[in-house]
Amino acid sequence: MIFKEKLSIYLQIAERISDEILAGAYSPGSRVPSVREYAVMIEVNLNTVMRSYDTLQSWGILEMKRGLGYFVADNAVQTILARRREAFISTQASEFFETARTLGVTPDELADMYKTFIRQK
Amino acid sequence: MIEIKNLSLGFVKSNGIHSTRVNLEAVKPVLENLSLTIEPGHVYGLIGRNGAGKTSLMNCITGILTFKRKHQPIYLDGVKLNVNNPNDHAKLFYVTDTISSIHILADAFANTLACFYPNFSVESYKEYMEMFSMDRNVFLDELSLGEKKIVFLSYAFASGAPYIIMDEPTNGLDITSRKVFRKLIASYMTPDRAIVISTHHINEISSLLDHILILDKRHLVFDHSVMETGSVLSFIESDDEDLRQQALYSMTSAYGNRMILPNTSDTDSEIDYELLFEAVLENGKAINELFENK
Repeated sequence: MIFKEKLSIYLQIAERISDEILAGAYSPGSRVPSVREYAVMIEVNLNTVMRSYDTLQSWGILEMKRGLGYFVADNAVQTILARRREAFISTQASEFFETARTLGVTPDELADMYKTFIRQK
Repeated sequence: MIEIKNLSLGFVKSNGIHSTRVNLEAVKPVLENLSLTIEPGHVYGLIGRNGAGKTSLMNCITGILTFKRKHQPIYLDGVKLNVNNPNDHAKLFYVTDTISSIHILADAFANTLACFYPNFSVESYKEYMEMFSMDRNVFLDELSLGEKKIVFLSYAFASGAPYIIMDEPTNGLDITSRKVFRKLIASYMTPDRAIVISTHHINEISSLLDHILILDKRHLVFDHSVMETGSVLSFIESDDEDLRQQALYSMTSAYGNRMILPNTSDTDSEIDYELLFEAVLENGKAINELFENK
């Protein structure tokens, strides 16, 4: 079955900023661009970017310091990885297993494939 | 805030002169009993088919089409709009689709506008013209449509007006200028300003909007924020036949069907504007009911 659903723009931006933090563009403790700067940079509605920042704050990835702006939380990288791990297990992995089951790939085969994959990395 | 209260409008058939609708026989109705509120701090996207009444609506909001004071259905910050009042005029900047212009230098016209818009910044106007790579030493009546649009968009963003109304602002603009336009929209927004953009090219500005207005056959058939729309409706693409049966609206696509379903999850999906538009025109009642029940 084909199923495609793109995330809402505010969530796409939250993921994008998370990616940028993982890539080291904004390090823990440092200030991220203001909502306005970011909105102009990526050509997106100010309120939408505000919602992305609020969401990242509620996830514990950004912290707001009144009058100073938004900063990357000290443990932002761990938080992002934990969130992504959870999302992988609850959605991507189950879709992957569903495909494996439909195509008759056995658990042993899967385990071997994964072990080989890890070794080659 | 701009409030439109029960606006009805019709054109006299014989000579095209507009008038408020008095007698249905005598006029071609353009807008019927339309109410709408434009709140500061938001960017509104106005979409509708040709002839739906978009330009007429914007002409009313900006006072191009005038009403007798008694019948004026447009309220600007709580008071009936009167564009002959300089204070009201200074709050509205209208970028029309077709711009007729006189033989005057772009810079000279900027200075003229500065007399009418107390917060007009000639410096900003120059900066925006530069961003568009537009020569300022030009006469307005000697420009192409796209160039005129660029000059008037630069005026609009330099005006400091709390309400900017734009009719097809990207018509005639090249790819680079469209990008500059999007940056200027994003940077113009403050909590005390609103922008209304009418467009047929919704996808190129959709990320700049936070409110969607759909006009169809003289009526406002959709008036919801982007946030609300995302929480009420799900936009997905799938080849699943069961899902298609449940969909409020579907359209065949390369992967099966693009469809709209009630959003039952916590995660909002990206709005497919083209699909939403078609769905509202065909099945607006069912869609609006979902918003009421949310």
